[in-house]
Formats: sequence, C-alpha cells, structure tokens
Amino acid sequence: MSLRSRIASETAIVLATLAAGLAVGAAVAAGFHAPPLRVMATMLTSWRSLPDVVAEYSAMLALTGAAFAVPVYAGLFNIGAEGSFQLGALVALWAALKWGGLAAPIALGVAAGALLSGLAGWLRVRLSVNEVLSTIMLNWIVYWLLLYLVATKLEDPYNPQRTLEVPRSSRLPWITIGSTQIPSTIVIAAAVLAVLWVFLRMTRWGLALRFAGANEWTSRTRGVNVGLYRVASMAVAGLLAGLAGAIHILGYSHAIDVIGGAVKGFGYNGIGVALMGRNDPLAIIPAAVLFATLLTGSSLVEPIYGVPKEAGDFIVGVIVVLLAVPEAFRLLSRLRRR
Amino acid sequence: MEPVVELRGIVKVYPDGVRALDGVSLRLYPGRVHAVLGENGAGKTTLMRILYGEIKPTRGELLLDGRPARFRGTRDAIRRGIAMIYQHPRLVPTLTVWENVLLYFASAGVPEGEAEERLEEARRITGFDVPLDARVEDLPLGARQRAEILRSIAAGARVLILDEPTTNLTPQEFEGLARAIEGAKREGLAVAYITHRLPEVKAIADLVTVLRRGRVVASELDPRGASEEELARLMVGELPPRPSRSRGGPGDRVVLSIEGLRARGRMEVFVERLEVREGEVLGLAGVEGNGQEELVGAIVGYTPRLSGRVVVLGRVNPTPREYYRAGAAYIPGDRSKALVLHFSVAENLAFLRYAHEGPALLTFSRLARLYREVAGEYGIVAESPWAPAGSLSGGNQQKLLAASQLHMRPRFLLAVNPTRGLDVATTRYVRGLIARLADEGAGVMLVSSDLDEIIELSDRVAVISRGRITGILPAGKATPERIGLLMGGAA
Amino acid sequence: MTPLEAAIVGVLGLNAMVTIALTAMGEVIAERSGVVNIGLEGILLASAWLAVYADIATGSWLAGYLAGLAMGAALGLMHAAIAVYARGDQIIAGVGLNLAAAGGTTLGIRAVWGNYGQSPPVASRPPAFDVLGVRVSYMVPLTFLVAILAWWLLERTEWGLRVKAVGDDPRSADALGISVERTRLAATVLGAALAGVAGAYMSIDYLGSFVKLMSAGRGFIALAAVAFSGWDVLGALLGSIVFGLGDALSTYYTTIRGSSAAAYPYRTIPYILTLLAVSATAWRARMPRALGRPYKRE
Repeated sequence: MSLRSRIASETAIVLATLAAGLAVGAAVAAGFHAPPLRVMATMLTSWRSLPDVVAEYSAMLALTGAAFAVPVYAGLFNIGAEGSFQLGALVALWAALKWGGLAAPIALGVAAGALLSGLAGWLRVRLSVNEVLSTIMLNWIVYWLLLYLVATKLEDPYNPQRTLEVPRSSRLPWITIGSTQIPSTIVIAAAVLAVLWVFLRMTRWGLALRFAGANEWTSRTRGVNVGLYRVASMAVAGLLAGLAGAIHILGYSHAIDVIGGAVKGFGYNGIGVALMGRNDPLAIIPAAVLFATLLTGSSLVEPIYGVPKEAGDFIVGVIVVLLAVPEAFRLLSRLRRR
Repeated sequence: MEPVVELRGIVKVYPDGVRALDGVSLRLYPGRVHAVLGENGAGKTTLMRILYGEIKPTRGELLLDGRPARFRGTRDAIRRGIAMIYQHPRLVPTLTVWENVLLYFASAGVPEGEAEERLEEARRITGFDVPLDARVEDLPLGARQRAEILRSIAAGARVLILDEPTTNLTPQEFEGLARAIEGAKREGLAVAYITHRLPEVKAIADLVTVLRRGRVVASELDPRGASEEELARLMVGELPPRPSRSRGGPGDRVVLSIEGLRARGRMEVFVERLEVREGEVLGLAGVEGNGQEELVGAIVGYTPRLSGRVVVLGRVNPTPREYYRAGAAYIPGDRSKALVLHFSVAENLAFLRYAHEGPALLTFSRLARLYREVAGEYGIVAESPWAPAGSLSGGNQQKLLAASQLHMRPRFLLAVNPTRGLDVATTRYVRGLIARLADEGAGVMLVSSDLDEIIELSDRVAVISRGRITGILPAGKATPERIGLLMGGAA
Repeated sequence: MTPLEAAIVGVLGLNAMVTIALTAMGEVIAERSGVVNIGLEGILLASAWLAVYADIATGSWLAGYLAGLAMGAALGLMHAAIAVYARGDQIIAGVGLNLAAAGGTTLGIRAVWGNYGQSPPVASRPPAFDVLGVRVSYMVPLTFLVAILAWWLLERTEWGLRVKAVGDDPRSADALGISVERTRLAATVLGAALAGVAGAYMSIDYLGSFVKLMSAGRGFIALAAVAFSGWDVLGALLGSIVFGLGDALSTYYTTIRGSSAAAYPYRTIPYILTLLAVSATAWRARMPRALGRPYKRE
C-alpha cells in the first residue's frame, strides 16, 4: 500500500467514525425529544457563539491529546493526563499566589506534571506495574488532594465556592482578532505540537523512541535504552499535560471551583483526541478543535433544547470505541469490493 | 492403490494477492511416504495447511476415501484422522505434555479412559518415549516433536503430515524419526513428508512430487529412479553461479576473541576460547536452541555476560552501542523480529544504520538519499522508500537487513541464519555478499543451522551443543558427518 | 479505633470486597484466555444503572440482578466482538467503553429520573443479615462460593485447560483443534457477566440507589487485584479483601469527620493502597503470554 493510499484509508476511517458518533448524538437528542438535526448543528457551530471557549478547549485537548500520543510511540498507554493536568494547574495556582509572575508557576506546574507521569513510567519499567493502573490510581489521588486543597488552603475567604484568583502579574495575555478575543494558550499549544512533530518524525531520538515502542528486542540489540525512553516518554507526557494545566489556570480559568469543574475531563477527552488524530501531533490539532467544538456545543444545547451536556461525553466515548476497530473498517471495505 | 486423501486442483490466493498455489494436485496412499519437494516459497506448507483445515483453498477440492470433504477448521481434520507435525512444534509451552495430549484427544474424540492404552500402543509403533509430566517448555525441540508424533498416532491418525521435520534435529535424531516413520507405514498410515533436502527424499520417500512457485513440476516420481541433480534442477530451475571465496587465508589481526565467557539467557552458555581473524569466516554450526542465541547476545552485548571476556575490535566487553561504534555489525537471525514491518523501508534502514551513532536530524530527504544509495548497491526492490517494510518480499527484507549493516563497512560481521527462508537465487546473492566482505579483509562469524551454508562459506567451523563448543574443525575436515556428531554432543 | 470499630470496619470491608472480587475474578478468567478488558469500570456503571432501573420498574431485586448480569454479558459480547473477531485494540476499546458508560449513565439518570446526580432509592433491596449492627448482603458468602467455582472451572476442567491454552499460545491451541475465537468469546462474556453482577450488587444491594460515577475507580482496582493475584482466582479474592478493607477504612474516616473537606485526604486510601500493593508484587507476576494480542492465522 502506498503512503498516499494509507493516508486516504486512515482519513476515511476517522471520518466514518466521526459520522457514526454524530449519528449517535442525533439519536440521543431524539431520545430527549429535541430536534436532532438542529441540536447537532448547534453543537457543531459552537465556535460562532463561544469562540474563546472553543479556542481554549482546543489548546487544552491538543496538549492532553499529545500527552496520550507520545507514550504510545514508546508502547505505553498513559491514562494519567487527567492527573498531570490537575496537578499542573494546582501547582501553578499555588506558585502564582505565592510568587506571582509567569516563570515560576509555569515551570513548577510543568515539573509537577512530568514528575507524576514519570513516576508511573518508572514504576512500569522498574517494577512492571501496568501504567494504565498506576496512572488511574494517581488520577484519583490527585483529584481528592486537589479538592481538599481547593476547599482548605487555597480557599477564597470571600467566596468559599472557589479558590483565590491568580494575580494579574501571572496571567497570560489574550489575543484580539477583529472583534473577538481568544486566549493565547492556543498559540503555545500549536507551537509545542509542531516542535513535537519535528522531534518524532525528523530526529534520531524520535526514530529511536518509535522503535523502542514498536520493537523492544531490536532496539535493545542496537543499543537503545528502552527503559529510559519509556520513562522519558511518560515524563514528556506529564510535561505536556502539566503545561496544559498550568496555562489553563494562568491564561483562562484563573481559579478552581470546589468541585474541580474548571479542571475536570481534559485529560480523559484528550485520549479520544489523540486516537482521532491517529497519534500524529499535527493531525491532533484539527481533532482537538473538533472535540472542543463538540464539548462546548453540548453545554450550549442544554439550556436551549434540554439535552444534557453529558451527551458530548457519550459521543466521545462512542467515537473512541469505534476507533479501536480499524480492522473492522478494513474488513467492511474489503467486503464491499467483492 | 486407492489414495486415502486426494487434493485436486488446489488454488490459493492470499488476501494480499499473492498466488501461493496454482492448481496443485496430490494423492497420499496408505503405507506410503509421499515426499513433497520444493524450495522455500514453493507453496508446500500452504498446501499442507489446507489439508489440515487451517486455511481454506480459494479453489479446488479435497477428497477423503474418494468422497469430497470440507474442513471448517483443524478440529474437523483431526476428527477425520489427519495429523500435522509442524516445522516448529505446536504444543502449548506452559502446559504439560499430558495436558496437551488431553486437549488433542478431546479434539480427536478419543475418550479419556482409552488415553493410556492408546499412548502405549503408539509408543510401540514409533519407538518414542516422552515424559508426560514435563512442562513442554522444559523439553528440547526434538522431544517436543516426538511428543507430537506420538499423540497423533495414539489419536488414531490415518494421515501424518511432517513439515520439514529435520529442521530442529541432529543427523542422529533423524534416524529415530526414520524408524518411527517405518513403524507408521507398517500400520498403514499415509505419510506426507515436506522437505527441500534431497538426501532425505532419497532415504525415506516411496514417491516424490516436486513443487515450484505454486505449481507441480513433477508428480509421483520414484525417488530411486531420479538422481539428486535431476531433482535439484526440477526444484529450483536455472541458477546463478555459486559464490566463490578467494580463501586468501586469514590475516594476523584478531577481530573477535572470546575467553572464558559465561552468559545466560534462556539457557547458559560457556565458551572457553574462540577467535575470529580478519579475512576469515568462522562458521558456528548447531541445532537451533543450543545456546546460539545466548552466545550472539553476549557478543553484541544485549545478553548479560556473567563472567569472562569478549573483545570486539579491541573493545573489551562492549555494550551494544560500543559494539557498533567499534566498527562491528550484526545481522540477526529473524528478520521479522529485527525489522518493524509496519514502519517504512527508509525508517527501518535509518534505524538499523544509525541507532548507535549518526546525524541528529534525519529529514525526509536524508532518509530518501540513504535509501537510494543502499537500494542501488544491493538491488533492493521496493515500491518506494516510504512503503512499509512488510510490503517487501522476504528476500528484499533480508537484503534490507543485510544492506543496513554492510553499509557501515564493518570490520567484523556477526550474521545469524542470513539466508533462512530465501529462494535459491537470493540465497546465493546474500552468501556472495558475505564472502566478498571476508575477501575484502573483514572477519565474519556465521551462525547458521544450515550445514550446507556453513560448509560453503567457512574457513573454520565451530560446533555448539547444549551451550558448549564441542569442537572446531578446519574447512577441509568439516564434513556433514563430523559436524553432525559434534552437534549431537559427541566430543 | 476501638476493637469494636475495627471489627465493624472489617465487616464493611467484606461488603466492599464483593464488587471488586466478582469483577476481578471474572477478569482473571477473561485474561487467562488472552483478552484484557480495561472497560470493567464502564461495565460496573452501566450494569449498576440498569439494575436500579429494572429494580424500580419491576419492584423485584432479582430482576435488578438479572438486568445487571445481562448488561455485563452484552457489553462483554461487544468487547469480544471488537477484541476477538474484529481484532481491534483491546485497551482502546476498553477506554472508550469507560468514557461512553460514564457519559451514558449520567444521561440515563437525567432521562429516567429527571435529575443530575442520582436515582431514587430502589424499590426492592435484596435480603441481608446483620453482623455487629451492619447490614451484610448474602452476596458476601456467595462471593466465596463463586471463587471456589471459578477456581474449579479454570484448574480442574477441560474448558479451563482450553482457556489457558488460547491465552498462552493461541497458534498451538489452534493446531490442537481448539477454536481460539470461540474460547476467548466465552471467557470474555463470562468475565464481563460477573462484572455485571458486581455492578448490580454495588447499586441495588450495597448502596440502594444509583449515584453518578459511583464506581469511583473500582473497576480499575479490580484490574489491580488481577495483577496482584498473578492471574489466579483465589489470589484475586485475597487482593479484593485487602482492597475492600482499604475502601472501608476510607469510608470510616470520612464518616467520622462528617462530609467536610477535611475528610478528603482519607478518600485517597484505596488508591494509595492499591498502587502500593501492585508495586510490591507486580514484578513477580506471570502474565498470560498472549495477553492483549489478537490472534490471526497468517
């Protein structure tokens, strides 16, 4: 199969999956006695009414998507972007309140995320602890600690529903395009993903990382330290998710609410984004924009049509299940040719 | 005589469009050994897997006792008395022999109460004895094969298919196998004997059918009436000339030396002393699984060395990275394990060439340049540098693997089974590359389970058995018989 | 903690064990055949939801349990179809199942009960007995019985031998005349059905209602119990008892501190305990050799 026909078939798979996901969404809307086509249309055009939200979600999902994708190249499944994201946000908030400025909050947020995922990578390589398990456990641990700190040490005494706000000196600027304003996090995310793409596709270390994931044996015989690459891939993943959490708090939400709503779900939805983007850092960007549009749109349809916003999560889940079965798609296309 | 089984006009086209069989017919008679002769890729194994119900033919029919039969899976074939002994044993390694036998008997419909009695009878017929309580993975490959034959005959097989059965046997073990086949013949079993080795055909077969590229080129010949040369020509067609070595003799410089090396992988190996000089090919002969893997890993440095010294081009006990940086190269024995088949040809090439040392930036144009250079020099045929390595033919994959190493211009090359599974023309080409490298002054260690290959290329032959070097012979004295005795562990 | 309180925590631990143990033992069976189901969390949620729905609709707890079982088996069938027949990626399919179930059951609460967080209490709760004033479900002793049955099935029957054969070496199993696909299908469905029963237990029996995302990682803790056990049913039961105690301890401390934020750190106990237990034991585990790998004849 040539490169071009491979790209064509991957694209076809992704589009078919998307169509199936949207059909499920329409069915859910119908189940809630809402007009399916109008509900889906509202969902898919959410960028018109909420451009800043869609931009911010796109940036976050692109980074957490990359946090899932990078370890996949090394042969690992990182479900821990959720925890790294939340820890990055929490640490950045704390550092911003303590010292202000941008350097310390971002650096510490990134480092915290990298350490958390790196720990899961290390447990896998040194102690054979399955990384899916360890990252899920770490997610839950971070989640409860976050809720604890939000409601105690970081609480805003005048507004007990949330934390203190990030000081002015620690906020990332917004960008004005015509009459709309969007957060600058989208620029950071795009730049990071471009660098990542070059690293994976065009450097010797990127090649070694991909071989380490695809074929441990041959990598070892060529002197590639597979364990090191695996831990590093997890640390990089944590770095990406931690960065996302940090710039989310500094550039967009500025505070965390007592149920953690401001920082929830980005990591888990990033998995779907990475799968839809076929783990390619550049293809992840449009996938992130699409998921951001859908998820923003699902909160938009709730007040209008009475379809709960969880419909968005459900659609994402269905899309992920379907993306697990490329073989099934190939089977179908072969049957059709016959 | 009426055949037990008849395959008629079998055509098999794989989903990727490869035409493995093109109208092949074959009859198996009771009490006769029918050899199916052909080189690698001729379609022998595919034909037998169709007979065993493992894969379905695209066209053609299967007659059992003269009546059409259809198998939906191996279980149907087993029930109808067809037994397959694969080239590499297919027993579940984590279960005991007895548990494997029970599962097979269940498929064959043998009541558990008769199991003991039937096994006893099969022992009498074959002369084989296997420890039933042993875990399969603790047994050597030869014993696993004997267990498979034993349980097949005990289950009441009428047709016994042996696919390249001597691959994992010493020449001495072959005699035991021949006696078991005699026993099976006396019981009236029809035996299909798949091989590409001519002496075995002459020694064992009553009939021979020759396959070439998925077609029958000679049917039901009497092997006693045909010479080995005739059979060889039928099997391979016209051939390029054999590679010749100038045999200028080894130089003075030692490129590999091993002293008191102990290493452990799946088994432990110990090598007191072994040397390779520049301009020399040292062959390492032995039955698969006698410590070759461990020794090779300990030389390159990816299998832990417990004690002793390996010196490669002056580097003492190198790590893999140091091994390649010193100017040594390594062609592993299993290309599907050494390549990543879903990565592109160019990426595989670049990784194998540069993983230890190379440019930091590997842009697309640089990869394409490397590919053009190498593909031109070694005649690799690929659709494009960006096609997946798995889309190449086996021969081109092997050339890719070899080319990535020869491109380093190594002064020492370690090559393991470099021509396994290749057709004769590509085999000769690859052997020619190795011979040329040695003639140009590099030292080569050739690890191979193919005795012909060892004898053809080596200046000296070392033999390994159960993790020990059992002897080192100069080229003149390295006859198959001598090597065979050493392979069996005789000193 | 007084001795009496400790004993009560122990009893609470046995109640909490049931969900983890049934799920983990089912997963041992599935994984011995070579199929990983990361979607257990999703199966727990979906079957818990359906069990409450069925219980309230029919007024019968037995219908609730059967509904949970059916949901588990159906999702197992779906997972097997993807993993075994379509040869899809088992981990990704499971992750997707978890995401879909989390979204789907929350939608389900809204659709059926019209609010955001939980169902009303079930109409009929299964019978139970009291130990130290704590309600103990009959599912507790039943779980031990299931453990013995599952052990017998895997270690003493020909079917168990077949399951292990396809999980360790599917190519050889195929050559022995065993259908790799059908054996894996059966093991996966059986395993998921047990998780379905566990989900039903969690909602209609253990808690008495369905609460949004109530499984809270228990599906993954069950996966941890599988790894902890070295792929052995009785080991998985032991692991589940330990993890159930962690769950009970967390509940105990949370309760005595009221539901204030000060209790939140205690919520991490089950997860920390699980992570530590698996870290201490994972290195020695003997995984089924073909775990997670689809089988395809070349």
